[in-house]
Order: sequence, then structure tokens, then C-alpha cells
Amino acid sequence: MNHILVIEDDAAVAESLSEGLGREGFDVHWEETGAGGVAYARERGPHLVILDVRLPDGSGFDFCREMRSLGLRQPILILTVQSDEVDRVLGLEMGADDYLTKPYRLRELIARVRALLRRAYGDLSSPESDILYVADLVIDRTRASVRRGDRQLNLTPLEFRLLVFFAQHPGQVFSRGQLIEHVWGYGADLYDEKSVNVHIRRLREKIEDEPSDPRIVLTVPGIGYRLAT
Amino acid sequence: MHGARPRSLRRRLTLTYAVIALLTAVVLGGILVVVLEAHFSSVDEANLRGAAQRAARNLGAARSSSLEQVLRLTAYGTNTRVQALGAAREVIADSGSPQQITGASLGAPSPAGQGQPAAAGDATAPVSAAPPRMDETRSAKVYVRAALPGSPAGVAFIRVSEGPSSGGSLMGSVIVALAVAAVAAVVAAALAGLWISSRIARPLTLLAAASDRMAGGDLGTRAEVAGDDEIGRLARSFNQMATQVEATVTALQRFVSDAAHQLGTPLTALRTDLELLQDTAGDEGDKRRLDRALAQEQRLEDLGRGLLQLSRLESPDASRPGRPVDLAGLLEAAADAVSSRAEQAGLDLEVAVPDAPVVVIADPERLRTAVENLVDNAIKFTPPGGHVTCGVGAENGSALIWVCDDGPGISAADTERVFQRFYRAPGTAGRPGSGLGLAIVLAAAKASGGSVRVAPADAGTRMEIRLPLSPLSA
Repeated sequence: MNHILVIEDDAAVAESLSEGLGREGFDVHWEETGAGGVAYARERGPHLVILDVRLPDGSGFDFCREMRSLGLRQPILILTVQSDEVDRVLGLEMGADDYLTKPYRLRELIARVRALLRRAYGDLSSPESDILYVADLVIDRTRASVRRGDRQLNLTPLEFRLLVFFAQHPGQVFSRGQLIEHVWGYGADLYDEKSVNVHIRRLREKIEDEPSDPRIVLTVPGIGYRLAT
Repeated sequence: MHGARPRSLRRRLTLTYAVIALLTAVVLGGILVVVLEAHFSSVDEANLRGAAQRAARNLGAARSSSLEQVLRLTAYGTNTRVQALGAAREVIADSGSPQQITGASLGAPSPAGQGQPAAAGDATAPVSAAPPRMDETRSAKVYVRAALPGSPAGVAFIRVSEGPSSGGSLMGSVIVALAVAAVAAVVAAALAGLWISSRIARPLTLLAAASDRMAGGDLGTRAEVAGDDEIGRLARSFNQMATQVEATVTALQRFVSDAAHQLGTPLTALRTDLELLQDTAGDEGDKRRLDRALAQEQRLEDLGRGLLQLSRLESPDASRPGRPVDLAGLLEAAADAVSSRAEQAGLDLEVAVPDAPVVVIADPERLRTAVENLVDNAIKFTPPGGHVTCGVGAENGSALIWVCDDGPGISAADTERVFQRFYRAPGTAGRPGSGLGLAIVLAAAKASGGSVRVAPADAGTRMEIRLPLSPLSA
């Protein structure tokens, strides 16, 4: 079980975040102050730290730097309200691995946490492995199932193959013709490219947290589609 | 308009000075001329009177000579015209104009002048002297009752006129000198007025420029204070006011920014709890209610983010130096960011960019904020199946980013108002959004040195951002 340290001064945010992470099977410890968080991280060595920028005893960036200077190598996810580029660069220069803007979506936060953990402690999935991870989705190829948390998503076989194909090639851009060839298995000239759009739209409606604002399968204008990384 | 004010002050002051100088010269000159005139007239009149008395005496003394001869002699001696008049003031004898009298003509007796000796009467007192009257020859006429004993009969008066005019040439040179002095005074006064008004106008112009910069949003600007005079005091009080305004505006912006910031934390907790509830809600009604609650939370989030963006765009310390930005790349990036959303909403999103780069000097972050919000707005307000087209171009020295859609369009009455904060056109109440999107576009476009407007369109909406084109453009 992964152990996560949450350093956040607001009790309401910390409690709901802890509950959300707890439901996903993480073991969460909450610290209210930066100093307390750093002390805890030193002593107990959590797998991952979620760090708020505004803390009563100083800036999250400073505590981030302090943890790094203490030799702590765990992934650190920064929570900030400002989405200025200045803050982003600053946050990552301070040794943070990723950042999220408040108010975040819980699913997105969980997906980031999972991705950070996979990156830090070894990728559990290779393109050929039976279990694949896409955002906060878990794809089980042997059972042909897609789960978000405990919830099972009902995909058609074609949608499932599409998602697996994207999961095996994260970030790579595919034209509609390429998708027809690799997922449908037809020659590209034998199938109407327009119908790809229809299937992508249905897939999004099932896997996206908010289908009107897709964040998993993205459109690349003039080319085709890619999986968000 | 601002440039014209100091110029007109300068003109008015110069003109006023010149007019005052001119009036002074004219009044003083006029008084001088009138006084001299009166003086010389009285001198002339006294001369005439002397001549008349002499003529009257001569008439009484020289019995042997003819009347005309006596008059002529007197006229010759006094350089006047002497006439003898009867009781009814009819001319009995005339010496003629003094210029026509020569020494030779004095000896010849005149047959016409033969008359009666003058009637007796009070000899010396001038009875009725016509008031000295100015005419072209500047000559007065003086009547003297010639009633000395022995005067030829019938002669009741002696009239003397056309006497020499004294001071004529002096008057002429006085008038010329006065005119020269007046011209010099007017020129000197005008120059003085120009100099003084420039001294007044220059600090005023600087103050006006500072005030313009302030009105243009540069709250940090201050007027140059020079001297302790009224204008110096005005500049100082302007600066005090500017400091006050800057402090107030900054405090307000900070308040809005802080408030929006503070909203983030409770909204985070609220959102997470609603999402957690959503996972466990069994009943369809609960799910619906949770969806509604989340949608409202989203609105609050958008509002907070919009306010934060606006306050950042308008904060005075945020003026960052521009750098060359290729609009085509910027627009393509903005379109990329929303293309998934557009496709999912069933919209056709098209980007038309020219091959040649269209470059402007601007802050890329802000310009991107403007363009992203504009494209986002078009996607939000275009119904499914619609088309959103955007592109980049150059026109009359300005660079152009346009976004067209075939949505409901913006009515002519709303073309200005849509840029106001929280303004929502009638019939869009059910649409998503914070009501800040176009206000952010306007602020971001302004902050990057450009402008935005609703352009005329046959159908739907056409929005244009205009920026000064950089010479780096091909």
C-alpha cells in the first residue's frame, strides 16, 4: 500500500482529499504545517508528498526545496491556486515533480498521483503487460475490463481495442487512417474516416470525467488523435 | 484635443498682450495729438486775431490808399487772407489768398475794392470769433468788428482767415513717431506674452501628458514638479491625487485577487466532497442533484478564475515588455487546446493561417489569454453542428486575429456591452460561463497593445483582435 503525505493547512481540503485518496487504496497522513510535514517526511519516508503552496509557516516552494536538500527523493505534487507560468516553472525548479491548480478534480489528482508513483517506483505496465494504466483508469487486458476506482466502465469491444491501442502508444499521434488500419484491421481505403470521429466521441463519453472537456483522448487538429500524457 | 489647449492658451495670452499694448499706444497717442492740436490752434487763432486788429488799425490810419490795398498790405504783412465785411457780413473787399499776393501787386490800387470808410465801433474786442475749426488747411477764421473812427464806410467787420498753421510738421513727426512706437510696443508685448505663456504652458503640457498617461492606465506616472508657483502646487497636488488613486486601485485589485484566491480553497473542498458523493450516490435523483451542484461549483470556479485573470491583466505592475510573437503559431496553439472540446460538442473548428508569418510585438502570455478566451467563447455559444472559423491576417499595417462562428450572433445594440463584466446578452442566460470571457479578452488585448471588436458579419458572430503589425512580418 502506498503511503502518501498531505501537507495542507486547510482542514476541509485535507479531509476530503484524504478520504478520496483513502478510497483509492492509499494510506494517507495529513500534516498542517510545512515544518511538521518536512519532519514527518524525514522520519517516515512516505512514497509521495502532496504539498500546498500557501502554508501558515511559509511557502510550499521553500519546504519543497528543503526536502530535496535533506535528500528526500520522493515524488512531490504541488497544489497551487495560481496557474501562472511563473509559478509552474518556479515549482518545478524547486524540485517538484508535478503541479495541480486548485480547485482540482479528484480524478485528475489521483491520475497524477498514480502516474508519479509509477514513474518513481517502476512502471508496472509495459505495452505488452496485462494491466495498463491510462489517467485514473485501470485496463485489464485479460478480462477486457476498464475500471475507474471500483467502478466498471462498459466499453464495446471496438472502444476497448481503441483505448488499449492508445494506452500502448501514449502520446503518439495517429491519423484516422492509421487507427482504421490498426484497430479496425481494415485497409484505410475501405472504411469511412468520419466514423472514427463517432467512435471516439462515444469512447470519450464513457471514459472521460467530463466528456465535453476531454482530457484523456485528445484531438490533434488536421492530423488525428493522441492519448494525453 | 489635449494638444490644442496649451497652444490656444499661448495664442490667447500673446494676443491679449499685443492688444493691451496697442490700446495703450492709441489712447496715449490720441491724447497727445489732441492736446498739441488744441495748443497749436489757440496759437494760430491768436495770430489771426492780431492780424485782424492790425488790419482794423491800418484801415483807420491809411486813408489815402484804397480799401483793397490796405487789406492786401495787411495780408502780406501777416501772411493771412483779410476781408472787409459789411454789416450783413457781405464781402466788400478781399485781399485774396496770401500765397497770391506779391510785392508788385501791393502798389496797384484795386478798382473793385473801393468802398466806404469803416463804421465806427468797438475796435479791439473780438466779438464773434468763429470757433477754431479744423479743416484741410487747418485755418481758423477770426472776425473783428472794425469800427475805428476813419474806417471806410460800410465796413463793419474784418475777417481774417487762411493764416499760417503752426506745428503742422511737428504734428506729422509726432504721429509718425507714435506709430513707430506703437508697432514696437505691440511686437514687444506679443513676444513677452509668447514667452510668459510658454513658461505657463510648458509645465501645463507636461502635467496634461502625465494626466493622459494616468487616464491611459499607467497609475505609476507622476508629474514633474518645478518651482513653487501655482503650477508647481498644481503638479504637487496632482501627484498626491495620483498616489491616492494608485493606492486605491491597487488595493481594490489586490482585494479582488485575494478574494478570488481565497475562494479557491473552500471550492476545492466542496468539489472533492461532491465528487466523493457522486461515486457513492445510488439514487438517480441524488445523482441529478449532485450534477447540478457540481455545475454550480464549476460556475463559481470559473468566476474566481476569471476575476483572478482580470485582476492580473489590469494590475499596474504587470506591464511586461513585449517580444515578437507569430500570430499563426499562437492561434494554432489556442485552437489545439480547444479542438477536443469543439469536436466533442459536434462543432467544425477550422483554422486559416497564411504561409507568411504575421508578427506583432506583444506579451505572448496575455495575447494567448485573449485568443484562447475568444475561441473558447465562440465554441461555447455555437450550437452543435455549427462552424467556428478562425484566422490570422494583415490589413493596413495592423495584424488581425479573427474568430467567426455561425451561432446566434450579437445584436447591434450589444456590440459594446458584450465586453462589460458580467454582461450577458438576452437569451444566453442558460449558457455556461462566468460572464467575464469577453471582458478578459478586452483586457488582455489592451494589455498587449491591441483592441478587440465585434465586426460586422452576415450571419453569426465575427470577432477581431487588432494589433500593430511588426516590421518583422513578411
